[in-house]
Amino acid sequence: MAHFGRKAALRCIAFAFSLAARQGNASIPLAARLCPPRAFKHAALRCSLFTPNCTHVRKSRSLQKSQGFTLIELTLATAFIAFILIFMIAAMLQVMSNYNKGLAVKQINQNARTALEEMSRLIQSTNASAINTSQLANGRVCFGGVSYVWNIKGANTNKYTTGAAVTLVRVNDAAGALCGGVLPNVDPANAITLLSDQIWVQSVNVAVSSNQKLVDISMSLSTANQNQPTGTDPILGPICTGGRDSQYCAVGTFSTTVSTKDGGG
Amino acid sequence: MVRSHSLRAASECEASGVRASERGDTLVEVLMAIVVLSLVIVGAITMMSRGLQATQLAVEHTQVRFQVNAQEDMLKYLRDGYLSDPASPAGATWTSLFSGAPVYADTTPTNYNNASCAVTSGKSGFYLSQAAGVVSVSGFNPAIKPTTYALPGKGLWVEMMRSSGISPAYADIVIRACWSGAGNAAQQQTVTTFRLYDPAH
Repeated sequence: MAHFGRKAALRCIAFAFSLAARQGNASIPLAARLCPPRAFKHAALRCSLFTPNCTHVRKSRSLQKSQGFTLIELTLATAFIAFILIFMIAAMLQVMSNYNKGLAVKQINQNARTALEEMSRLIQSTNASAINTSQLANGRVCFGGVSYVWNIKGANTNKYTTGAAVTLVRVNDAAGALCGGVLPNVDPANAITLLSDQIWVQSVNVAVSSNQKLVDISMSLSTANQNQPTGTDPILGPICTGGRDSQYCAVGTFSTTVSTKDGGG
Repeated sequence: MVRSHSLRAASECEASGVRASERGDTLVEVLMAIVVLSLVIVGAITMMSRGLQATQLAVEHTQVRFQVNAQEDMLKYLRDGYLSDPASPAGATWTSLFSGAPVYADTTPTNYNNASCAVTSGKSGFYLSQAAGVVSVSGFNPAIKPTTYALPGKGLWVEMMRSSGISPAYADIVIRACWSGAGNAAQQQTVTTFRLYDPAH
């Protein structure tokens, strides 16, 4: 094929035309069968040499275009496109995973700041004698006029009067009734929810010093339900282990120490 | 080079009767397109990863901020303890900050090296911890590094600089925190400064 020169191309096509004329058939299919596509290119350049058949040569080029791709060409193109698609899909999955992880971590950060700063400020404006941590194990702590009620890991122990479970709420509780012996349900009219819907309390600890003037607060929050942390680290506590849905999981522990309003030695 | 190649390809096509609108892309054009596409995708992934890293760092800064607030509150607790009863444990601790060994609240200004994240000279750092309402003072050892975010004594310390010849006396307090951020991020630092008027001097 590589040595198929111009003269050979012209001879080939001219021969095909003459053969077809003798047989009384159309010359184009015969020429296309006999001569390689390169021959038509040369023939087009020398079209004037056999002008009567020039129209046939032009028609034969359109026939060449309609021949389509070979199987190898198609296979190579498909393989190439598949490779590109796999690369792009993997990249998009990674981007989406990062985005979801970022959202989860951001939620933990915002909720922890809201809840812990809220509690810190309240303790700083509360006299030591008003702090009641007797119901801490039941998810309640009272700071003289304001109480906090929570459930651990989506439990249903502490409820609103409507029957729905609380996550972590601040309740206006002038008498400190929520930390009494009966543990009444929370009136939603007096409660402000401090956490987003998809956040769980993993643990809350409020430790008051023996002189009642310094309070250690520690709070661990995580994503909720099927996105809760599945592993436990001896130092860090609950952690998100790797897995299909770990991109939606986040956990954080926050702690601080606050002095009460009448603190000071 | 590419242009001349394309022109040559175009002229060949025209010579062979194929219109410019019907010719395909050259190999170089296709490769260039793939390179551009790859760069865009890699850039997007890098940006998203950095965004996630920044979010994780924000969590660490929040955690450190609460620890800094705790140190600040304990210092106020000591100062107020001195005010209410200088002989109380808190009052005695406040006094010892100025007159103990080492003397933490001296009049030497801080010489802080931002790059190494350590005090190079002139100042000894300390940190506070509390147990059962008793706040104790410990010397800061810069060699003890935090494993995650900064904690008191592990990348978080307090420096005090006492006023001289001014009445009422005061102490300028600097709470510093320094730790390696999540995901091999750059060294993270926070500096909190406030002034406590000092009835002991």
